[in-house]
Amino acid sequence: MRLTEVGLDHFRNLASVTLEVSPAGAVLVGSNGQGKSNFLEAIHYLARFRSFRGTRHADSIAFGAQHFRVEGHVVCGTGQSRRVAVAADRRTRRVSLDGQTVARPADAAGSVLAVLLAPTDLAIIGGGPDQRRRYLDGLLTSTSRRYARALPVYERALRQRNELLRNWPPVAGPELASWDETLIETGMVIVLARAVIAERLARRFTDVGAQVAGAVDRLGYELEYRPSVPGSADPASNAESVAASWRQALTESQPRDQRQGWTTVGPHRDELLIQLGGHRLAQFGSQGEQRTAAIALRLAEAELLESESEHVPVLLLDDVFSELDEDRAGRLLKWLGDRHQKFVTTPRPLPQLGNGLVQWRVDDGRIGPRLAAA
Amino acid sequence: MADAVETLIEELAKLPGIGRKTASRLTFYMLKQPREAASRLSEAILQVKDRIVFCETCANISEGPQCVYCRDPRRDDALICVVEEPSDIQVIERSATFRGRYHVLHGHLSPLDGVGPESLTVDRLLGRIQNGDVEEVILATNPDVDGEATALYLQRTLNPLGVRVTRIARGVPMGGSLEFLDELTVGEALTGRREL
Ligand SMILES: [Zn+2]
Repeated sequence: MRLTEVGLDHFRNLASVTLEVSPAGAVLVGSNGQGKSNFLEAIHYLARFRSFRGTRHADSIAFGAQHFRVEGHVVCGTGQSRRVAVAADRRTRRVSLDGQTVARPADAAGSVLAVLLAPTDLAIIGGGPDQRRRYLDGLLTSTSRRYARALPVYERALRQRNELLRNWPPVAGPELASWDETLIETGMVIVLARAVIAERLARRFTDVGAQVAGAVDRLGYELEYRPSVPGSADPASNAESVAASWRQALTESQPRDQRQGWTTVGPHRDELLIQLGGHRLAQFGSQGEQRTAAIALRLAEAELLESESEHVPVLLLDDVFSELDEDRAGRLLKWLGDRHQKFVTTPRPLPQLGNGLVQWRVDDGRIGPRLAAA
Repeated sequence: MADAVETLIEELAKLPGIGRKTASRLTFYMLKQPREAASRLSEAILQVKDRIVFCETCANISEGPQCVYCRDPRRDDALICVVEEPSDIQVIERSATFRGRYHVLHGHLSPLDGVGPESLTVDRLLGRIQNGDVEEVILATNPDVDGEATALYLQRTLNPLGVRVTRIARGVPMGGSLEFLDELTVGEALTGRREL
């Protein structure tokens, strides 16, 4: 899948412009604060219809403007071409496909597939288990409507249950158990989906990790889902038996839950274990190893997206190369090859990224003109 | 701004769903209306407060000690449909599929809002079942997290009383609110209720 044209209107600090894009992509060169990442954010908007920064739509409107609009022309491997646009003013956001506004953004999902690699990904590897749960939630929410519906319901039931535990004992007896059924029903959707996606990511993660790390980290990069609820790690496990063991776990943990004032069993306590040679990277990984793992995780995600959609996603690489040592950067480039269209931001020109990648200068929100080939 | 105008804006802004901006728009709209319009509105508001009370039996809104549904001799005493709010009764009535009695909880369980069973009309419901000929209780709380927990709580509390407890079918996704469903969906949900 390749973008052939990107149109920007009042998006953040970027000057309104229509850019023709080469099939290989582009390298955006500029110092910090000039708007390189905003361009990646704009393309990401076409894929997910919201900001990867987690900000409100209104925050992406240029200073002094009333709305923003991003449009992309995309051509699939089959040759089919589409026009995707996202526009938002201070009240609403509209997504349109080939000029027609869609009723729900989900109806246009998958028209543009993009995976972002950014320095902030390091937190997924180096941060606490909550970071990895949030990573899985983000990935699954954008790919499964069922998951997107179950997650907030689970979280609401959990907060209600915890509030009861915090003020233990409640006035009436069976109140606590009243929340358990919803907790288990929606929690099941969450753990089973996590188990499935972790299994699909795991092998790819190990493969990509080995290739980017080369001979440096001979021990394998591994990813494994460690659910809090016993028996839920196996995607093939029977739903009813998982629910039964969950119910039992809730009963057994009740004295502890009451003492601590919150629910100690459930997917809100899951871990996505990411290891190198059997050691947790969050605790024991060097910066280089953690960065490699972060890149491998995103590229595994890109492979997964590709296998499920049969379209090659666009890669958005936000300042990924400047933090990597030369060897790793070289191997990453080699692995990337030219299968994907790539948009790469960098503070200095990257001559290694020669093949077909035009270099654009980003200066105070203006993109272009091209630099002479370095 | 004149005190009277400011007072009205402040009072309107206290209403649910009305911000200061809307309150001020309503105020200036009323300023342009003839005196009779203002008088009709304020009279209607006072009438609601003076004439409407809660039914002594089912806690529905009523103009006397007993509401229209509790007074109606043709309704089936053996069947009680439990709802969260009086407005839910209107929805079920419009579906024209239910001929039993009602019980209004006035809310749902929500520990986060400090609402436990003691803040709802659960005790009164238990009293009705213990002292009457009730055979079945249909739980028609909202199909969202809190409504579902409320239904499960009631089921556990009512079961020992030997009464049949059913829950309206979930013809609607979790996260919905009865108020916004069409009659057809509500009718189907009532017909397809299930044992808990
Ligand atoms: Zn009544």
